[in-house]
Amino acid sequence: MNRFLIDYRNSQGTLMRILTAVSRRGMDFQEVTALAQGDRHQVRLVLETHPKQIAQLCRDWRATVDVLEVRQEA
Amino acid sequence: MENANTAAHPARTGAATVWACLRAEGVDTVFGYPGGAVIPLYDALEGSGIRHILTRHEQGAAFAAEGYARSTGRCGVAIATSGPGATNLLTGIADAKMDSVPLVCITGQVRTSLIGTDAFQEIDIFGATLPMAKWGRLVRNIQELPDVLRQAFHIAQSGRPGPVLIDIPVDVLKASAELPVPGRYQPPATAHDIGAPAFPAEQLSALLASAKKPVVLVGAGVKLAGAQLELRRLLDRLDLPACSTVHGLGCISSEAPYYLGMCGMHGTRTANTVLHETDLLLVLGARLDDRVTGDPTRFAPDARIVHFEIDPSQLERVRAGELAVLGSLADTIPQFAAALPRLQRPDCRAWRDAVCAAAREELGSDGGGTALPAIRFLDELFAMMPAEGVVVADVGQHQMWAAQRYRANNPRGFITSGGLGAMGFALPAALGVQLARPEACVVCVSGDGGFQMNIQELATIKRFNLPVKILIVDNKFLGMVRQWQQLFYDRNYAETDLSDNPDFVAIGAAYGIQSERLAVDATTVTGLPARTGSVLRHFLDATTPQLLVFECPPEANVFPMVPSGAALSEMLLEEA
Ligand SMILES: Cc1ncc(C[n+]2csc(CCOP(=O)(O)OP(=O)(O)O)c2C)c(N)n1
Repeated sequence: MNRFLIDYRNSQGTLMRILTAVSRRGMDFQEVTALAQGDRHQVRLVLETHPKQIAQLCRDWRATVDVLEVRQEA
Repeated sequence: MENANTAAHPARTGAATVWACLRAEGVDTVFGYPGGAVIPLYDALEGSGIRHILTRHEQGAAFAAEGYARSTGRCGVAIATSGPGATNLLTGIADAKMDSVPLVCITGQVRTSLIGTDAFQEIDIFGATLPMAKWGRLVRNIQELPDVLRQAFHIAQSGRPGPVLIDIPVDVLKASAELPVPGRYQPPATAHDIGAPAFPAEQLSALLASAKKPVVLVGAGVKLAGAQLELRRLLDRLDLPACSTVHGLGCISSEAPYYLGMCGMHGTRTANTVLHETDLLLVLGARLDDRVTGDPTRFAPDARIVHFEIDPSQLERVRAGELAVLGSLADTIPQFAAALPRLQRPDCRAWRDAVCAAAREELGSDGGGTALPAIRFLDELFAMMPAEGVVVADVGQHQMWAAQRYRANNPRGFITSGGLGAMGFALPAALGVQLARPEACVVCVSGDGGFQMNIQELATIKRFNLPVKILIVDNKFLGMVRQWQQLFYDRNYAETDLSDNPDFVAIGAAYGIQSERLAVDATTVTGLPARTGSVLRHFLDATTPQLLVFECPPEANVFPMVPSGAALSEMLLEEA
């Protein structure tokens, strides 16, 4: 199981774009939590992924307009 | 653009605001199709200073806007009504995303109070485009309209360009407000604002020093950055073998002694062999998709990859451990050139000379085989085209023949749907190119299948008397699929037969377009009819729309071919 923390500006559709990067790969969400964090928003995703997908996902998220930071939780 | 003007402003409707914002962005032409939700927009069109081109299908509008954008580097604009109008734009949006084309799509939406009720012609187009548009907005009120439009143009054109969608409810178009002229958009910082990292001269130098078979691969990023002249100067000094993706065609001079031609599924034998054998691959503005790499796990197996790229999401797609040079090629190519005197150079002269000699021989040959009549015909056509002409190719065998034979040196001179591979692209895209570049000789090369996918745009071409030269390579098959069926499905030509095609010459004539047919002639040396030259001369010189049907053998194939899923080294060179 892999945990990701993604900070984003809560503009229209940004959370959905973050999620479609996962769903387009046919992956299931184990857990999704999205909360305001000061002036940012943060979504925490728990996913079953293999290493190649992790790199691809992080690249897709980073290329999304209004995504501010992408981290993987230990 | 000036900063926001704070003085009092006349009241404007949302519709008038849209046109004013488009003008402020320098838009002169838009492509669209009206319907209930955008009537207010069309009502305010007159006097806007913007030329609206009515296509005959919204997909045609999106592709035409793409043609406009791809041939100029400027933003294309397409307009459609809510519901079916909006969904008809989707293929164009997906195409623009795949090929990095700056495109602003404006759709009407049902009025705000009806949104979410499954109202007549209500579709969540904002939601539908989430996975394929670079960005989008459903506009909630007239106040946010100017900023949304300004932001849309900025995002479509910045970084790696792409399509954006603005969905505007009809009541927002009808509302009225005193709004300032929008000021310059100031983008907020984001994760992909990468700054200007230092050029990795030392690492590159070490890699070059130890390379025995270094090669350069050029993609669309070069032309998107407008860096083709800097590229050519750099390549002349580097003097290493260099090949091109389909979207990079025209960036490298086809006369350059180090040019290996196109690489990938239907690339040259030399380019693909060199890519398989290389130990150092310098990728300049290409995302290394699977049509270029073949099986990505077996692509350039011995190579270190140095990847010059603007979009971090495209790095390390093939394998980890690339040396990344992030940024616009407009910056990084000059940095490379400036560093060159300090870089060690590979010792590979004998190998390079042999490879380049093989490429010269291959590019100079017509390849023989079943495709010969089509190849000879395209060679004659391209040789007669003016240097600044534009070829717009559809999708299929004719597209790959055209890409293989294209020798012009203009990076925006070969336009095609590469990443999405959308049949029906070429005819509307060509009309968009012709409107953007009225003086240019624009040749649309289509198959008999793809031509029928947006055939209705003949009416648009005729209305504006656009001198587009439309060539249909008519093999009476969905040729590229038939080729796969022949090679990999035991000649089971299931549902690819088009032998009952309509009479395209009669169709052209019905639209008022001068139309002509040529067929292969077995009695001549070349296999082309004796009058080919004079027909082509007339075709290319005409100042009115022209349609030319070239009937070629039905079972001609495109070679070389790397079968889907195979490595580049496993390319097929001719019929089994
Ligand atoms: C919209 C769309 N539908 C289906 C395909 C699959 N496809 C790829 S090439 C091809 C055949 C194209 O036939 P034609 O336009 O006659 O060109 P040819 O290959 O014969 O030159 C098809 C059906 C596609 N690329 N795009």
